[in-house]
Amino acid sequence: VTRVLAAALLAVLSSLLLAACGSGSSDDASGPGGRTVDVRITDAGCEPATLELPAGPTTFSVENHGADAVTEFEVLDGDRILGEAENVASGLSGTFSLTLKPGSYTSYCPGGTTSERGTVRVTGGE
Amino acid sequence: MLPTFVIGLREGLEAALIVGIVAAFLRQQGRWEALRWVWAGVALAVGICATVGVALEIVSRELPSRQQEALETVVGLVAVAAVTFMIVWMKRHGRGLRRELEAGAASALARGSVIGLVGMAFFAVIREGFETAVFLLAAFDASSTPVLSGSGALIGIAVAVLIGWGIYRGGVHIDLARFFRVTGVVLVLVAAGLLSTAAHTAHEAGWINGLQGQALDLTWLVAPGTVRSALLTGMLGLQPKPTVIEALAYVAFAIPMLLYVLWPSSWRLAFRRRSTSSMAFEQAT
Repeated sequence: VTRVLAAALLAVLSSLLLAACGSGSSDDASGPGGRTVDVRITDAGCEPATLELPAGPTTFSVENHGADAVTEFEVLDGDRILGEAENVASGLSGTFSLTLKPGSYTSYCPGGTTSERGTVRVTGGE
Repeated sequence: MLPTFVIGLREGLEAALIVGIVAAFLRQQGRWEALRWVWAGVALAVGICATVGVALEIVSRELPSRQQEALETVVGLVAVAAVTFMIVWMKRHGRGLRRELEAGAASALARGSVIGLVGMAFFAVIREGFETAVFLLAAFDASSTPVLSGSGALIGIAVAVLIGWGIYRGGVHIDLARFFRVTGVVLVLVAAGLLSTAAHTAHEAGWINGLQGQALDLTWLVAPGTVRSALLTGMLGLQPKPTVIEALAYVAFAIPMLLYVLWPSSWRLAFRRRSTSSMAFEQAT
């Protein structure tokens, strides 16, 4: 039993390492053609609360502006998390990349007071 | 400084707790050679995580968050299995074990289980280590006060390690029979928290997308950004706003396991257990 468990763990671990090393070829949005969007975490939540973005590879550059209780920025499609930056404490920044398709998504900054959830509208298509 | 301290403490605790429990358990069994492997495994895991963290920083890549959450989920589930194994093992062997140990027949714990527990300590550190390494580098990279942010994160991790060490020492110092009785209840809560956290990370890994409504509001207890929330989330897996699936996982595990731990032995024992449990918990933390 322990061998099976160890094998399963090693499989997950190596897939993590592979993904870390080889993500450039597949879904890395920070390369040419990718867009960078600056967003902020504040005590209120996600800022701006409404984002209008063109479709395509996008890197979210998340910066925390003095929010102690909010440290996470997520983009969700319904209940499914598409991308997130975790542990972004006050003064810190983090990034995550994803390829956006046209549609309406939710931004989620758990713990925010007035804009814990925001809207991300993605238009156009390639 | 405090915000990064809180995150460092929480991330560090999630690993230090499991390592502390595993180490205390193995030492109670007199498995010194296994204990050495635990420390070696932890050191190796820290080394791997630091290397990967620095390498990601150098090539300015992000940690692939979905795979990271998948890893946390799998290791979390294995940790639930390992802790459950310890609970059941203690329950079965608790009474006769002291005599067995004193008679030198301590090898009650199968060799495979020992290897499994040593591996568990290694993977517990790997599980939180990547994220923590990336976070630590980000803290030293902070826009306004990098030194303060960075040292806050470092001190948080250091305090977590101290608490893990305290669990190990505390687990070692209470006598064996009491160790088994008292830790049963605490371990059930820890494992239930691990399972609930696995439901959380499984959602972030994209594996569970249903039952994400908010089940209850614990923000009064687990106030985000506070040291108390870091302790409660890091050690007992409590989220400020647990989702339905997280709450279900917690309750579905905790209730039957608590019944199992508290039920079959006589009520006299159960009473004594209750009166000693608070004491030992203070010792343990």
